[in-house]
Amino acid sequence: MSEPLIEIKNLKKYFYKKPSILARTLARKETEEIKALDGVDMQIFDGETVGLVGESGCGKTTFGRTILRLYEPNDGKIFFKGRDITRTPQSELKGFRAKAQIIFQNPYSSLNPRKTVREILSVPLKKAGVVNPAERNWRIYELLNRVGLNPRHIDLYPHQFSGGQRQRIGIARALAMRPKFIVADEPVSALDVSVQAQIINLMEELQEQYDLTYLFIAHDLSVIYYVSNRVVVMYLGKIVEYAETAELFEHPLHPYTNALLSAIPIVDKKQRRKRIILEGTVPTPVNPPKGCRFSTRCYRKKGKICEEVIPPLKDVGNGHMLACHLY
Amino acid sequence: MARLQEKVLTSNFNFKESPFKIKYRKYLHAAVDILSRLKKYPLAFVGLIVLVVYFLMAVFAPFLCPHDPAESNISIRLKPPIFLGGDWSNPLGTDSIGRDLLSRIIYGSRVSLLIGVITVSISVVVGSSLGAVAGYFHGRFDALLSRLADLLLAFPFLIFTIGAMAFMGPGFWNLIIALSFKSWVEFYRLVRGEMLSEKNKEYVEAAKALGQNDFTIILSEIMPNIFHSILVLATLRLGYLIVAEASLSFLGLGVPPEIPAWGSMIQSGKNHMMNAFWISTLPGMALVVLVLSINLLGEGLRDILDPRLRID
Amino acid sequence: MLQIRNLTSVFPTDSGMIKAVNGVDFHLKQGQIVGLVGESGCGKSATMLSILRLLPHPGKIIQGEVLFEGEDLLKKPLSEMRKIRGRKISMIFQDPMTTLNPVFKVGEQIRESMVIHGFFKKDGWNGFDFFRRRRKRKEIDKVISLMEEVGIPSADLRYYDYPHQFSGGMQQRALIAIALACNPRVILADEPTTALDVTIQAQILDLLRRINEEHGTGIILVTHDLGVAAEFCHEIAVMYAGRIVERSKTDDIIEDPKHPYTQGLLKSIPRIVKHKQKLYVIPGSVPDLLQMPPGCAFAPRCVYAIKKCKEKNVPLTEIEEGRYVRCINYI
Repeated sequence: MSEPLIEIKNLKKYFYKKPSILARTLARKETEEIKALDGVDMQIFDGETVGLVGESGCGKTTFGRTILRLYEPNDGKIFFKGRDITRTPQSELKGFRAKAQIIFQNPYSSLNPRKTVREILSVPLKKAGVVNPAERNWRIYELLNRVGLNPRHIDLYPHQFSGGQRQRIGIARALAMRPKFIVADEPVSALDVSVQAQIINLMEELQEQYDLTYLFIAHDLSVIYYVSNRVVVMYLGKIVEYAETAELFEHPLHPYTNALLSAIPIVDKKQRRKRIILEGTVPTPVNPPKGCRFSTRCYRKKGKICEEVIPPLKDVGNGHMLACHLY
Repeated sequence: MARLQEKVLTSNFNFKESPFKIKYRKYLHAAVDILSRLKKYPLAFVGLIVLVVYFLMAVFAPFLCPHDPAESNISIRLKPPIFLGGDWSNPLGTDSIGRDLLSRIIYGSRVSLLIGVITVSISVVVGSSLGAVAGYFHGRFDALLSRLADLLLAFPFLIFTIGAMAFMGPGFWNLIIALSFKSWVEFYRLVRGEMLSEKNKEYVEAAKALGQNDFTIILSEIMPNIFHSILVLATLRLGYLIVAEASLSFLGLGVPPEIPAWGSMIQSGKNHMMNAFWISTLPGMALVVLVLSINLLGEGLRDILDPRLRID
Repeated sequence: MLQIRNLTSVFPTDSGMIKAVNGVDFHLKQGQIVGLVGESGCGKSATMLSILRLLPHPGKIIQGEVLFEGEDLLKKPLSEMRKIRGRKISMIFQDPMTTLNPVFKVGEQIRESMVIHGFFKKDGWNGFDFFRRRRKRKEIDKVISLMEEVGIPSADLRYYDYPHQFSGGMQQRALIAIALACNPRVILADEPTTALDVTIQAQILDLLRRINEEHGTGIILVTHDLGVAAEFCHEIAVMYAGRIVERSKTDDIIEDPKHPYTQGLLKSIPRIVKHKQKLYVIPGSVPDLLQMPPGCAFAPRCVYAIKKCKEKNVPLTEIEEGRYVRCINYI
């Protein structure tokens, strides 16, 4: 297999919630450690779309931002085209920033409300070294056309656009530096069904045209199925299952993946699976279960081993990675 | 067909505009926008007009005054204003040593406005830059500065300034230093708070992902979003600082006595309240009208600009 | 049981009237679940609020009837309306965090709403309340059993928790408990699962279905997710720009949609099928409610539109038994 575009090894990201001095001295409260990512390994290859699913609080957003170095990882390694960028200082990340970009979930807060489209798109173009204003304007025109916006709206403010159009501006901004890799953090979950289809189609077209690699984060499994080549399922800061899309949807092995798949509401009657309703909710990442993270909600628990030993991520055949004691 | 469409679009697309012109036009648009929305708040609009009149009065004081404000003429002392039977040579009467009140009030507006505006500007610059840095980086520096701010806020403003003035002695710049010493804290707290909420928004993260450095992010991404709140607070603080200046001048701790100031004029008329009330009352009224109009304008601006009260 | 006829609500604005709900007709039978599906801004929530006459200012209902058990709710005095809200028809909102009051205990809030709706009958004279403590204990027990019914684990302990100690799914359950407190005939659920994760959504929908089956409560479910509507509802009404464009049995509408908008909507959802096809995109965008086209609101985006479509609006017509479509092509 060729060399991966991005390789992540044992990535950890903890957040700390420090109580005030008063609470520390009087109530003896200790600093809480929130284990958002707890040892994640992944490889992303050139030109593919990796779908990342999981429930809220499972660390998928943190993962997307940590591999872009928007958050500083606590431990582990990030390789981009074989180069270790885990500890490179921010000021020297210029080359990486031009090659790896992000699209955000909320089209309302991800655009600066006091800047016109021209100003928003000028920033990445200046960074990419387009200094001449006329040339920059030409590039902005091209970009707007490419993402399906009317270039005449160049001097409007974000609030004058609809949600879908704003998401297009966000995509144009990510595209301006001609990146190789884009983290799409729930790009369609804030949009209506018909607009969602437009954005997904646009993203697929762009992928073909510019040979992009996506990490597509979403909680909607049907969207993930539609866009991705491979799917990663996360639960409480850990990867539980990892396989080719078709393989994962046809032969899900992990009990959590099974439950997740059965929970998606599906339009077609024939496609529906027998619903597995999970008990309870996701435990807090402050104090995750000791063994398998899913052991508190698992309906196929084997016994003590699940509660005490963290299952390793193993290959169970044709690239299907799984972290479960059952197999 | 598609090519034709593209041609039409390109022809409407403006290539030639220089970034400078765009920026300039943007601010002009913003100002016109605020003014046009002020029309819906008649009180604030009146406040704005009164404030402009005061500013013009202060700027053109030498051309408006019938007399030299320092010139005293004992023979016409305690002359009543025109509506109490005085004459047109001293429309608002004279004070206890025969100085023309109208001229002194007009000149007095210079001191009030100048000190108010300079102090507010210093506070805005110092307070917002410290607040922006403290809020954005949110580390030791912030903890230290915030405790200092709490400490300063624990003192009553006026007593603190009186102490400072008593220590430094009266003087124009001393007064400005004493007033700004505390009033930056308000701006610090405002900007720091807004910065804390603003810096977690996704557009800031997007700027980071594009490789913008922290100071560019603060200045060109976040500050324009906080600017409106700063403007509103600055307007409201301006009125308060003008009152504070007048209070200090009243106590003889403000500008030196040879400069005409409303506070010291009110003080000088104190002993003549019974027989010549206008000496204190008229400068007092000038002060009240100015501060009232500033506050009306400030509240109007707050309604227009503060996004939390605004319904878009 | 609940019949809505020609309901029209407007929001006056500076630039004109916005017809948020434009002549909506549908009905809910005893024990039925009806889904109201549409994109944001199509007037689904406004319809719900209009039924209970809870439209926020300055919105008002200008036309139509809401018949509940034979009586028109729109003609009732407000005092009687208050008695119906919560007691006979109750509502579940999208965001549980903002609906629950953060400073009161969850259990107390449920008890409070039951007290307000007169669930605990006081008989005769109750000046001196000697048995207050004992009475309260009874009420609390009742609340706890209700909380258990909606699936809140260890309800006797969680009674004393505050809303922020509940997870999103648990908060939604608490709200369902409040809605269920007086055993209402109808529950209006406004996007009850949008803020929740898929596995939690499955739990909540399961709970709602159980309530429907056990108590025969009619449910109107507002949602933007066609999948949820398809799995959960007996009947679906599709709304577009303030109007219902199609209404029929769930299976009919999903397998054989008649209205071009419904067809487009169904084609534009990504599906889990073997052969991937490019997602269909409905051309154009939702019309501005201020400048509604005179004819069919969907005509500017419709692939089958003919000249007549843009001229006059067609009514919702029954084309087959129980199938209603608002489209000129079927008349």
